[in-house]
Amino acid sequence: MSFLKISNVSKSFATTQVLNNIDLDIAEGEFIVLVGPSGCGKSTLLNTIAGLENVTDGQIEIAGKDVTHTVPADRDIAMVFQSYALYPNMTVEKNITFALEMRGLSADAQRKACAEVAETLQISHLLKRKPGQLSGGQRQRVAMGRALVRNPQVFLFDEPLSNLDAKLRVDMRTEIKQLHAKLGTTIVYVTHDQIEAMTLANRIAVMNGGIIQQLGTPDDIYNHPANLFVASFMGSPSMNILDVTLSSNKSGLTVTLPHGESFGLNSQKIDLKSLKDGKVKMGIRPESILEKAPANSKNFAAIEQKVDVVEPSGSDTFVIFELGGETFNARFAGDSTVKSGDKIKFHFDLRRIHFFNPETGDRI
Amino acid sequence: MGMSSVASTPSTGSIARTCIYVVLLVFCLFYLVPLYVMLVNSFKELEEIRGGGMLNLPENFTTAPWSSAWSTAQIGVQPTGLKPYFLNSIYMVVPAVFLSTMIGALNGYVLSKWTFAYHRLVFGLLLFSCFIPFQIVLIPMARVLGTFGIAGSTWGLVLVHTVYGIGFSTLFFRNYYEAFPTELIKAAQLDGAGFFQIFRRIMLPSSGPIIVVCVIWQFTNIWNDFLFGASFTDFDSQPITVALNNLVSSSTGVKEYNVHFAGAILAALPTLVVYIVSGRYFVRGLMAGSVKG
Ligand SMILES: Nc1ncnc2c1ncn2[C@@H]1O[C@H](COP(=O)(O)OP(=O)(O)OP(=O)(O)O)[C@@H](O)[C@H]1O
Ligand SMILES: [Mg+2]
Repeated sequence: MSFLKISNVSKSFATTQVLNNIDLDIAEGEFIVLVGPSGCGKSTLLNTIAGLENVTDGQIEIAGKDVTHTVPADRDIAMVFQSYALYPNMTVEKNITFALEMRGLSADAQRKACAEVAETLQISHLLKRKPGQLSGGQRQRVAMGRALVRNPQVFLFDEPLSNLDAKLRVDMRTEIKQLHAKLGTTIVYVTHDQIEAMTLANRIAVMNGGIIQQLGTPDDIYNHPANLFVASFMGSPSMNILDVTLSSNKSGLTVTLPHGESFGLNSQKIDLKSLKDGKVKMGIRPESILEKAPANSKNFAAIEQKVDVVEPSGSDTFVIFELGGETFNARFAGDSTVKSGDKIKFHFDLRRIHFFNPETGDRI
Repeated sequence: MGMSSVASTPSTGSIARTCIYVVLLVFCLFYLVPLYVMLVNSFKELEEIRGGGMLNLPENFTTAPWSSAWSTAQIGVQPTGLKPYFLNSIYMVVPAVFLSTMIGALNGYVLSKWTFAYHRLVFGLLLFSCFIPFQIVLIPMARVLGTFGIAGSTWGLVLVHTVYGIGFSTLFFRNYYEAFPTELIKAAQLDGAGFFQIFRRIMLPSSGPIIVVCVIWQFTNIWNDFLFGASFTDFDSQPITVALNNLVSSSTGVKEYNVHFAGAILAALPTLVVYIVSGRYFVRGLMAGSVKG
């Protein structure tokens, strides 16, 4: 049963279409993360859910009620903005209780609710300050407090952590996850940070050009990307992509690389009829290219290539090499002794190879 | 030459610096001398002024010209002094400044944050009103005031100045609010605040500097206006600028220069006070809009 239902929503500004037939069914208590490149319409989608922008077409339902034409104040939604948008002329306490005042709560009830939220977020000592006197992290907490105090049906977060430094971001990420576990409120969360998306989401929606490219669990999105865009957008460093030719014989499929080398795939069943001459794009993630493979394993194809660059990063060593005119990236162990100029065997994990239709970009 | 050297080099030599100060001092004197002449002569007796020595300090210090200008000088038929006209100006300028500033703020708020189709056109037309010369509207305005039945009254002048002030005050506030983060308004909308609540609770409290700019601007313009004051008032509702003119140009008897000087200073005093009290906010306000965006 969906709690927040977005059906066929489109949004245009004058002549530019920003959202294109968005469909999204979100269950009660679900944590949905929206990711996508800059300008793909994530904030616009949040704004239409909040009612801050009118949809050009389509319908939005919350808890079974059509709110498409309801004003923001009556949608029972709270939003945390990227800039935090704290009222500069009001104290932290007033910032948090402003919404309650607008809804006609008594001063006592306001103070009580504010104290409770401040307790949860550990900002009780800041209540008398103005936003200008707070650090970035503290402002972020106040912005959260302002959303929490309303106890809304849906939370919308628009890149709430992007202004924080790396360490604080990780801490706040954990706190948001705990908060969600405790409150169980439905959340739609926009981020640019892939790790944030993977760790927080029940489901991730990958957007591009105003279209949802794929909606699925983090595991789905990462391991079964629906198309080339999702495959190369998610993951860092991104997936290696190469044009190859597929051909079938009696024992299975054969993959032929641009320079003629080939290896067999025995497990995969692929319908080649829709492809022109068996031409496809092959994708493989850096961590699926290994330095050492179990001996005699049928699951690996060894390809010998010269190492171009070695980038140690502590826990991993990224090894960059060239294959068929493309730059490939392999993630080896941190203690790997590979040096640039070495000619070594790269072991491709055949169970983790993806194929995409070169014309449509769709997964095969 | 001294001027340009200060702009191009951060640390100026002592010669350049001296040049700059000398130039500044000369300009300063140039502007202050008329004020000085008015001031010293307003404390002299008429005999002494007739004797020449315009720049001398008064020999027989007297405040009689001031009290005469304020309360007994002949203006028109009655020997009332400038006092009733000074009050007329106050009754005119306070509501007119308040109204034009508030309407400008509201306009700026709508034109920057609640935009609608053709909002740019509306803003353009409002700006256009800043450039309409006063003379053109005299006759139409007289008809409007007549229709409303407020011709020849202070309220008539308030209306005229409010309407004329809206162009500039809208310009001030629109540009200031343009740099104001829109997300704040979205947040307030989600918090349940309505159009006027957002204006009163979020926008206005953050508008201090631009309000000061607007008030100074409107106050000076409206207080100093002569044309509308002379055209749209009758004898009881004349503002001080018109009364001062009547005082100075009355052709009966001798010209009492000392009284004229005192009267002129009286007429200029409120604008001086406004500048001195809020001048530094004025500069700060002019900067604030530009730096923030
Ligand atoms: N008020 C508007 N008028 C016209 N175009 C707009 C307006 N608001 C957004 N757009 C356009 O809509 C597109 C999507 O904007 P949106 O803010 O939703 O992107 P986003 O996915 O949130 O990007 P980012 O990750 O950079 O925040 C952009 O191309 C933007 O230029
Ligand atoms: Mg955005």
